[in-house]
Amino acid sequence: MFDLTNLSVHFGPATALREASLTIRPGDRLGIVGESGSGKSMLALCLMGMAPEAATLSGTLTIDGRDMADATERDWQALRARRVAMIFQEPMAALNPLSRVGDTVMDPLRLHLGLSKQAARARALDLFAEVGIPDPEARLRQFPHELSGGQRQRVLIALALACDPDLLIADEPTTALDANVALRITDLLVRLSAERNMALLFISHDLAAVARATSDIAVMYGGDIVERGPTRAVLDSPAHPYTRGLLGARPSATALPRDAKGKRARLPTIPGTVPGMADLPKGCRFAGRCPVELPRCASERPAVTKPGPDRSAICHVPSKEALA
Amino acid sequence: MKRLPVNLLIGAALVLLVIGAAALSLIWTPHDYTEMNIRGKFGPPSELHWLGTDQLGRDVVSQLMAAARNSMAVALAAVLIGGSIGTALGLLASAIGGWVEDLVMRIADIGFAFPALLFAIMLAAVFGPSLTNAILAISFINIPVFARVARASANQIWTREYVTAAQAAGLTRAAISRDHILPNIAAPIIVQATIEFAVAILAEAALSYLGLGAQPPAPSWGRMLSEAQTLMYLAPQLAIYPGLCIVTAVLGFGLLGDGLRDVTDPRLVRER
Amino acid sequence: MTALVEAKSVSRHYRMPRNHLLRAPEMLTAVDSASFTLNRGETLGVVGESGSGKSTLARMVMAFEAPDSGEIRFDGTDIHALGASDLRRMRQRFQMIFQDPFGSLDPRRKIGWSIAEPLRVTQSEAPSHKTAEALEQVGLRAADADKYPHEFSGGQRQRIAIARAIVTRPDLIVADEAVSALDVSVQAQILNLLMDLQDELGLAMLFISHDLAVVASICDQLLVMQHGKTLEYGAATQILNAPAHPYTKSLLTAAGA
Repeated sequence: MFDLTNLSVHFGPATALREASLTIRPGDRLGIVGESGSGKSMLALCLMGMAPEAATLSGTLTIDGRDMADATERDWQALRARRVAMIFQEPMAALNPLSRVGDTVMDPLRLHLGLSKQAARARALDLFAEVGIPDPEARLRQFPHELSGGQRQRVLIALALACDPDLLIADEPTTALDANVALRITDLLVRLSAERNMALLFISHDLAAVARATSDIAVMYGGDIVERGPTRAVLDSPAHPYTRGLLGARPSATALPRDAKGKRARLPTIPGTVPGMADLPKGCRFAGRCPVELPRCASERPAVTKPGPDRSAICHVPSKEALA
Repeated sequence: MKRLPVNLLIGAALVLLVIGAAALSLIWTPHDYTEMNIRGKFGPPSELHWLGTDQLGRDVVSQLMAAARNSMAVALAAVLIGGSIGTALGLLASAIGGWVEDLVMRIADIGFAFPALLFAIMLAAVFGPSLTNAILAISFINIPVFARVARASANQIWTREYVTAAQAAGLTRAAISRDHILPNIAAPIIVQATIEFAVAILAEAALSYLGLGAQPPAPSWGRMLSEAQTLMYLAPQLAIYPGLCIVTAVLGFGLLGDGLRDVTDPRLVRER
Repeated sequence: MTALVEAKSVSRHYRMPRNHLLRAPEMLTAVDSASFTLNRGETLGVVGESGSGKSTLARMVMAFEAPDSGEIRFDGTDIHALGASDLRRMRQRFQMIFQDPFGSLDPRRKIGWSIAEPLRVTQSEAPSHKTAEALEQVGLRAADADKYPHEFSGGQRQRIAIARAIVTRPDLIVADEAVSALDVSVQAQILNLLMDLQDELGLAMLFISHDLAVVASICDQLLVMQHGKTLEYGAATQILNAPAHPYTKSLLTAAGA
């Protein structure tokens, strides 16, 4: 349904995205994991037809077999909301503070679907019930500031669902929320994806959230999709050194042990910092920070290896454990 | 490099023109602007007198240039005095907060509501009309304007984490105002000062027109305007020239202020 | 030996905005009689969601605001009973690290200036070797002192903020969501740095976060807060292995444990 082939995004000499290929089918739940500058948000913007004007794109994006290379802004507008919708990290910033949340949800229903006021209202009530907003009648009349963070995110999900999209892109949807609320929002997104056979693209830096929300995962670093595969398999036996580093660096809700002298153990880290978009190594993007680096890594781009069923990694030395 | 806004460029050009003329008049004018020549009154533009002469035969260009200098000096003094006092009050209100802030801002509200011209007339009635009193009156009306801008901007900076960090380090509120608040509110204050410069030029012209500002023979656009008024049918150009000068200066500083705000306030830029 | 920080039944209430002209404004209890003891060189982790009162607790320990009841003793001294100038001098001994690495440094000041700021409170001429030393201790170069904050990444800025916090050789660092805004890999680097500095300088830390996984990894004691109340307080390993409160259990679930 959504098909990206070798999509690259350049800003002058800087590369934001390098030859990303991705297929999204109805009902897929795909997680995109990466840190700042990994290109994960750029990927989402490309799927929405919202890449910045300064960017040069190459490669192909097809939606339902249609090549979007020469799509106009008008074409994209017709696709957004109906085919692909998006929710964001900060629900307060995405809602008009002066507008009742009911109107915020009903307006696109009337505009895009041409529903009457009564029909839009009935539909909004259904949507609020579907996303688990209690007492929807009363909520319709409330303003964003009267709702909690979790309720606001539910309103935005209802808004995104208003025109029955085939793909919902959630960009860090739980990052601004408290831990318990984040869990419930994650579970809601999973349920909606299953019930509506709607594809979900769940973008997050939070591995625990991605593990819970998705069935497949793409790990991004420096504009490359460095590893892909079923979420469980990738997280259990990561093939790419970056994925391994990322998983190791995440504290695991246990106190680090102290040695005999009382000195605490340290967290495993990825050394160094992410280079700027223009300073990335030509070969493997992770070169220079990689613990198992070979001399050719910095200059020679690794081929795609298949560490397991439905899995791929771009690495000269993918983990033997994963390959076995 | 970002493209500069058009209003900034036009404003800067007009301001440079006016300031250039004023600065030039310090060392050179085509003629002595006080030199009268009754036989040559109402002279048409000529090679000797580019814009002609007035009812007393004085060179109009020389008068306009000298008046520009006068106008700039009054506006500069008024904005500096009013701006310094107002900014200091705003910083103080923001640093102390509580009832002190309320009191300062309520007084500023009252000052803001008080008509400037009325205040100038009062000053003139009590102390007699003079350029100094005009400057004082214009300074005074600037105080609440700057107090408000300074306090509003300062309150924003006080919420920044680096200010909390400075408090954690043990800095006093006065030291924080000096080290962190003032440098970070400089941009909005400068923008406001530029806009108030335009207001001050207009106020000086109005006061001088009413005879409450520059006293003869000190040159002033406002006074030239009032003197020309009685001769409107005889020599309308004598009213038009100072009028154009006032418009140029006010428009120039106004546009420059707007333009500066556009480039220094990222919030406004993003909304475009 | 007395504890470095001792909080005894500390409470803090806020007046809510008035809903009704004639009714008395409602009171919000931000912190409800919290007590804890923090020894030198140890870390107390405070975990809770937004509105749990954890930041208010931090602000009271930092003496930015005073408790309505109860007292906070720093090295035996009730910091809220100190006069303004005594408190300013005492502040050399407890410093703070903030969440936002982009907001905690004055954009108009070179970072050397910002790092030396706490030193200038007690000495008019801050020795530059102390700034250089602090920069090197956090893994930056002494020459970086002449750069401006915008020349650094988020993780580097957090290192600069830490350098400022340790430049006076304090006994206590209060870290309020100090790694929450950072990427996972940077987060681990900064947590390790904090532990290194703790070993090197014998710092005590009050480490506050909404993220139990982060807090758990570096603390000796744990205090779990919700709606201003202390749900659990005790040795971290004990609480993590056998959480007594269902809320703590749900936090553990959310952390992916």
